[in-house]
Amino acid sequence: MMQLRTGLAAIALLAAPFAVEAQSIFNSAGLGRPVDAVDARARSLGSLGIGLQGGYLSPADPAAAGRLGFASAVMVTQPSWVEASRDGTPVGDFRGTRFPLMGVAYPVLSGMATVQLGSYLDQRFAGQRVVSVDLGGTSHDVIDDFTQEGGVSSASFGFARMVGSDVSVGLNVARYTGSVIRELARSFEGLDLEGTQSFTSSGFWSYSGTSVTAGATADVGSVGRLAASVRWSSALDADASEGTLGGSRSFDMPLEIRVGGSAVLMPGLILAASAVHADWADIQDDLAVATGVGDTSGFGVGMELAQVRFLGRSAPLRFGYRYNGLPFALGTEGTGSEKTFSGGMGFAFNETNGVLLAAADLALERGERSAGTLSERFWRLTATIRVAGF
Amino acid sequence: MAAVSLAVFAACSEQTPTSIGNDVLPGEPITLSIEIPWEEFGSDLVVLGGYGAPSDIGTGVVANAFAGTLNARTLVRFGAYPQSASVVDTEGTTVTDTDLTIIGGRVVATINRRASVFAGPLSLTLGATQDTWDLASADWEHAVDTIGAQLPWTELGGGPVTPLDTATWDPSAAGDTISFVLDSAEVADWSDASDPSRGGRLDLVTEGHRLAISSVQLRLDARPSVNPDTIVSLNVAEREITFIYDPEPEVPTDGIRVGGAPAWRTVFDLQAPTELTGPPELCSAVGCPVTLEPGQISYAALVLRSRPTEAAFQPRDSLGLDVREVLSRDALPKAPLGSPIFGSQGLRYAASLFGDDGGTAVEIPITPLVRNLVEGVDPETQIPFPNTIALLSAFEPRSIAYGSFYGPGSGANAPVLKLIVTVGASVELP
Repeated sequence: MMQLRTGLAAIALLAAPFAVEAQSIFNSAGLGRPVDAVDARARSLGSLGIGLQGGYLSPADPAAAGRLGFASAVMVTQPSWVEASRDGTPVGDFRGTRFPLMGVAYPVLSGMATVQLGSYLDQRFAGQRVVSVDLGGTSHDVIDDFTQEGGVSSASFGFARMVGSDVSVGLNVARYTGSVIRELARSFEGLDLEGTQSFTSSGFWSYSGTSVTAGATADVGSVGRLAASVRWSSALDADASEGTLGGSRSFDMPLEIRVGGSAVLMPGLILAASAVHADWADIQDDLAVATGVGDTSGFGVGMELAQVRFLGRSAPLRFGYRYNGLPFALGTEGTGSEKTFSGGMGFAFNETNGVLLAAADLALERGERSAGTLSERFWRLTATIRVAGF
Repeated sequence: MAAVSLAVFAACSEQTPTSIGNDVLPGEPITLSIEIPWEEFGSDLVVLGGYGAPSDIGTGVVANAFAGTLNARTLVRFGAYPQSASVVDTEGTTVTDTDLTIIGGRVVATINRRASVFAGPLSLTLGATQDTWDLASADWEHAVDTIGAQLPWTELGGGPVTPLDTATWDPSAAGDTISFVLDSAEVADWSDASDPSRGGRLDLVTEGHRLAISSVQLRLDARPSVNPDTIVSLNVAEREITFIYDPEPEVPTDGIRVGGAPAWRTVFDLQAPTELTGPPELCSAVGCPVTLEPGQISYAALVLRSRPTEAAFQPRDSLGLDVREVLSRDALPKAPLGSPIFGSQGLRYAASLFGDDGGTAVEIPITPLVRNLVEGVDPETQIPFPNTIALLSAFEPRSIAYGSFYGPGSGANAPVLKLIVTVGASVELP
């Protein structure tokens, strides 16, 4: 067990940047809650990370990197504050921070080679229940604490380039990474007995698998852009570590289709819209616990005021709305959905000849996840640092 | 940007969401309590005495026909007298006077009321010992009882003494001390620190009581040469103390004994279950037989029934009890022991359990020891965990009193091993 623990700690450290932190009670449903690896600009526009103006790094829009003119890097951090309630009655507050995306693009072979690390499924949560046990004819309450730490991340390598002057194509090949520790501990402190020791049962699984995302973007006239991408995934394999009594498993991942577009309605005013569809139905047979499964269809729309300036520098303002479904049912509550209203701004620290060499973006979302009588209202802040030309 | 950074750090303190409802948690483990009779877990019980000596305690005991049987006397020996003192001379200056004239003194004994059994005024005597005696080995019969020499007292119980003083202690008064006055000649007789017969013996004259003596001090009255009109009081810092008593308790043939001075230990072999074949609710949940794992032992305790100790040796204060592994049974009675599992204080048990409340069930938790036995072999050293354990006093020796429990063969009062076992299915992915 000690060796197992040591191994777990080492792997957890390696995976730490993308062992996404808990930010929702819906993490406890099925394989967890999907997390989009998108930056603050996309968040503030309600976007699903595809079809935006300009070049950018986004695992969901591999072709967008082809429009980057220079070597670029992006890092995204995302704290959130959540209030959960059932039937309108508060049941708990929690908060967390994750780093949903880090990426680098570098010019190669007349295109852009990319390396991106992104979140995929957030699985961290904790649960507790009080159990009545009969000891020698007397009933006593003991406490079961369950913790699940970890999640699924994606490490991708890609290439994108322009085909002609209006079209960009891209391809990302990704490996699923990450791990999860599930531990159930029963404590007997309530028995008022000297020297009780907790009962603990745990397991550690490492995730692996492959996904391929292909995408293209095309300019429509001088004011519009359309983009689409398809992600195919192999099965997500969860390999039990040595010493884990639980078995290894394999889960079918859905085919995911995204489309998006943006248009310059007038100088300085840009409209963006995107949609996604992924049907998780095939995974149902892979789940040992009977769990309702849905799809993650969703859409987002937003608007950018691109010519706003602040302190003499470009500081676009953005607003958006986004809706998408959650794939797994939470108990008897059914599959839920997430809705957010968002706002944000960018700020160009260093812009030379129209090229952003250093910029930051912020997005603040007010949203709600709900399923049946259970709901979460949350504030989510996303901050992005972008640098280019290094 | 600074505000953003603050916000990010504010959220870095994680508060993990706690699910509401059991449906996303793994199945419930089963917890059950099992009581195993002595015949199925214990064997080869022996009670061993002679650990340590009364002198290790650093206190004394006096008793006279206590409970009709117990006689005890305290022996003390003082170190070299002070040769100088800081005194104020006739001109008011504090100087060190090395020419002191000792004109008398007092032996002051302090009584520990909580550990004593008494009623009414008690008379005690102090006498000067005449036989050569050894602090560490002296007992009622022997003044010296070492490997190299065995010298009986010329009279049982401390040999003949030269009477020094008799004093009365009245428990109804506020003080806990009793003083014996010495004149200059008596003090002078004790001045030779190299004399092995030098010492004092404290006896209780009044019958039917037992007093615990927490300390005995010698205070000297001296006249300084620089100011002969004054008297200074000097404490003799070094002192040794022990006690001797009669009769020594008999080795119990059917019980468990812990404590006393010299101390008693109870040693026995412990066989932990490795497999469970019931009860039915366990078998129906996970199937039987169930091979026990150490982590499934949530609690293990020896359930002993306390027994009234012989009145002469009944504790008056709580008894600190510990359980330790016997690392090599073959080396008994001097076998090395494992670490105490209850820390330095041990588990405290009320004195009344060994008197009026005799027959009370007492649980002595031994969870780590039973887990070790179920494990079988130490994974780090690959050495089997010892299956012999010792019940003993946390401090050894601590007091003349000891605790008693019913042993094997005592029917319903015999020891029982109580286990709380938790068994669950392995944790799986959803």
